[in-house]
Amino acid sequence: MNLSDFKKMDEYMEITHDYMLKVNPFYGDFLKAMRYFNVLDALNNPTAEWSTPNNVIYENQTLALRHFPNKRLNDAKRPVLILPPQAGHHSNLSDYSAAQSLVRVFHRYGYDVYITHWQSATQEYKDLGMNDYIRLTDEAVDKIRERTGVYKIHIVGQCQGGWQSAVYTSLHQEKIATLVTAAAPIDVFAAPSQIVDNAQLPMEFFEFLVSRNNGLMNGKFMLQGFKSMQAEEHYVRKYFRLWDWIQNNDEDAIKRFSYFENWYEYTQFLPGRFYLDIIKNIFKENNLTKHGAFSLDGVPVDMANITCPVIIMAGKKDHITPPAQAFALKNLVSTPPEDVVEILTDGGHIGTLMGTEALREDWTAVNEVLKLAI
Amino acid sequence: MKTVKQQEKYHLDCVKALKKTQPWSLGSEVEKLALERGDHAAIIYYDRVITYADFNKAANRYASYFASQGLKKGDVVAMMMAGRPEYLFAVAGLSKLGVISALLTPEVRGEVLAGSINMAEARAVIIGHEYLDLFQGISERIRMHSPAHKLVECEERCPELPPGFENLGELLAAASEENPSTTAAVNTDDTLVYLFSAGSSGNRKAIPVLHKRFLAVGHKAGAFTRMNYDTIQYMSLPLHFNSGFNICFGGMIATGSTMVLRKRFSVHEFWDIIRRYKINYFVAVGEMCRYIFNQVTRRDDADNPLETVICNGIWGGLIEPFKKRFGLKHVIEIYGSTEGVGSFINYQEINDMCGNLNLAGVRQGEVVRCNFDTGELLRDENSCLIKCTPGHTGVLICEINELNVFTGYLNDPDATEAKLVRNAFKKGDLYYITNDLMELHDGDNISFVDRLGDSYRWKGKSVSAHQVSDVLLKFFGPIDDVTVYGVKVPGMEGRAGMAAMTYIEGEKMDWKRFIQYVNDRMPEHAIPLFLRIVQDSEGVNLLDQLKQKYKKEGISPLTIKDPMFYLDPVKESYVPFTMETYNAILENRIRF
Repeated sequence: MNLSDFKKMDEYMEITHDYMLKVNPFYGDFLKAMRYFNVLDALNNPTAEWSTPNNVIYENQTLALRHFPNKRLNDAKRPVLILPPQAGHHSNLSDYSAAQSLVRVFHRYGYDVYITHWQSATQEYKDLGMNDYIRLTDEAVDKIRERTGVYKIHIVGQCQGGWQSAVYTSLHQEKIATLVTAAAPIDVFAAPSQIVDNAQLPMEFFEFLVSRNNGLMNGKFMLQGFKSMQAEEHYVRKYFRLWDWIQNNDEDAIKRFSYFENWYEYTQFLPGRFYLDIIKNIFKENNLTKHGAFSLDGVPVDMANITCPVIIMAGKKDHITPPAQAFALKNLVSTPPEDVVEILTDGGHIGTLMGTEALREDWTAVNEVLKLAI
Repeated sequence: MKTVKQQEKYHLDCVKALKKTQPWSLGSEVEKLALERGDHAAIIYYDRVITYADFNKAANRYASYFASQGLKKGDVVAMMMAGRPEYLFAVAGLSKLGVISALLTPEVRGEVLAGSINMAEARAVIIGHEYLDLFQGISERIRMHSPAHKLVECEERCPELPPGFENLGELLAAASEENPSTTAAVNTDDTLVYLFSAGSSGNRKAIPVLHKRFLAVGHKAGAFTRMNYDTIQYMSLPLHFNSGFNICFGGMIATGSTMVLRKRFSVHEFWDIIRRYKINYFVAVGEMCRYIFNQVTRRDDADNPLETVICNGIWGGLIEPFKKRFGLKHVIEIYGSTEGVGSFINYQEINDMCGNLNLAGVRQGEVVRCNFDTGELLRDENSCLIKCTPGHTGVLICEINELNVFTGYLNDPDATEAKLVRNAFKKGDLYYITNDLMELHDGDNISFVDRLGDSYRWKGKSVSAHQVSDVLLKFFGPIDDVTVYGVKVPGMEGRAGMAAMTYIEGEKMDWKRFIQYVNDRMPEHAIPLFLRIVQDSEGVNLLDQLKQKYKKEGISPLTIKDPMFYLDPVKESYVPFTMETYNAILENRIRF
């Protein structure tokens, strides 16, 4: 077909639509149904992008250390390193969109920001464990210290990145000025949650999941697990909402839906050993609450080694990490109570990590407290 | 009994004596007044009449309690309380120990307020019950020095206090009413309070006020503004304002006169209060006089005891009609800043003037030429600043000397240095740059023209454009960049805030959340009245570079093609600003 054929086809389509709308009162719904399926169809191949300009300044194994230079204001004394969650999703949660980015919040407060971008694991890295991720975190911290000349930096851990930053700080307190954890499971038995209940399945079950992917944990399985906790929402309700938005021509809501679903459905692989280490040490044995109960590369992990100021965030409606599981960190560290700040957001799990309200109301509070750190 | 002339001479002698260190302080003056005029009313607060003897005893209780907590000379107590007698008892009592009161500005919110408290490095904070919720909202962002007491002034109410807060009234009950011995160790070179100001650029700053300045301002009120010991003044300005604290309270202490104190200004009750308490003296900021004048005319308008109005920023055209309608003897315009270098009092009452470069034969400052766009002071071939001649406009600079001390900004040497100009006219001299443009007139009289730099005045209060844009930027959402500046609004004093903003591509503003956000974080006078949505700024901070251009464009929709919004005073939300709205402002149908 040449260009004039396409034009002609458009004209025919227009005539057909006008005619159909006249003769069939339900034809409008058909068009909307087409739109509905087109929106969902576009989500079949989710993609991952960063919103704020950045450069990869260091790479090793699954780590790509990204630097987000602060072009507007750069007057904070210490840089910030963000450790995003590692639950099968992409690390760009910390820089979700131009309007909804944790990087942007730290930038506004004058911080230079770094993120450990954990890349999808390949067969080569299937045997990386918790000790390796702490080692990679240490490499990232050292790289930042080396290029900025700052001896102690602020570390911010989101969800799984939260326990990871707490474990890291307990092992390398001398390199960390302030520890911030957000929606991070620390004492998993401090409050009931379905994710912890699920984790009590026999270890063989999780080993089976890993073996199905030749030593890697498929993010899709983890996503399925999350969805199963609110099945009606994820498999039914949100589609009704989409249909309502299409009916009401709410383009903003449709745009927000597509953007979020694209992020949510994008999954990646974790090294199987790392995944099994987490299940065992954190979700089964609750070892973060036991001083020196497990060791990484021969060094016992003990939260009591943490002495720096600690900021703990948790979401009131978080069903994945209920507040009590996150706030439990305060009872384990040696930081004086007046230097431990608890921030309870109004949001749920993802809302606490990157929701517009949490960024505006709670992450700004984190920044204001950070400013007090010497 | 001294005549008025004798009193004026006494105050002038005191001002001159303050050039040297004197063993005087707020505390010692209160003790003296308690001895000499113990039965005279110091404060009338609704139905409470507090004599100078009562005032001194109450102040002593504060001194006694805080001394028992280990507070000593040089320590700081932060205060956040509405204007009531306890505020002044606390400051006076603490001053007897040499303890500095940090007079917080509760109109500011969130991060900015927490920053002020942290800046003061206080060992305790006194919170009026009316600000308890506000304080709790920021408590996690506050750091104080030990013992870090959080004391609530309950005003005879007994609210259930949250854990960690103590009822100050209960703690004071057992405290001594005797004069403490520490008062004698405090002199005029010691710091009395910290006041907070937007300054002319950057974030809020704390300004130490010495006893010397407090007493000098008070005695100048006695010498030049007809305040004497028979005066009954009406005081409804916030006590953390320079004019409220230094002029009104300073004047009351220097003259031993009476203050009728109210928490806030109410135009509807104004004349009732004036007549009821036989008030003859009133200190106002510009808008207050306009509000009073805009009330419906009554036949008995001139039948009142008010004689003198001291005003900062009154519109020149209003002075004569205001004076005539209310039968006033004097309307005296003054000019000053929280930093407090130089005194400018139009005591000769020359219309439209805000003062004179000389006060009682002492030179206060000069008006010098500058680059109006950059604010840079211009120098001649001998590297001296160039003084303006009558009829010309320039920046007012004030000489820093033994009486006009500039204490600088607390822990901010860079901001302090930026306000100084050295070797202005001869080697070794030192001047304070006001950043205010003044027109020089014959006889060294000056009139206010505009404010340079990053701040502007609205509703009688300084607004830091930098701080407002910082708050707006932290709304995040669609806002990519913001620059804030003051714009002239026809028929209004000062400049209203205008925020020029760029949006992130494809994002939209949630106006409901936005207005809620600004209301929660900014005092009313700082909330920008106008918003202008500018197309993509094509680069970081470009908006700031365009600020001068935008400032000149003002608010006229004839000049500005960008979409504009204004804060509708009735709907209390931002609505599109159209030619029709602009005309309504020109025709006085919309007032702010």
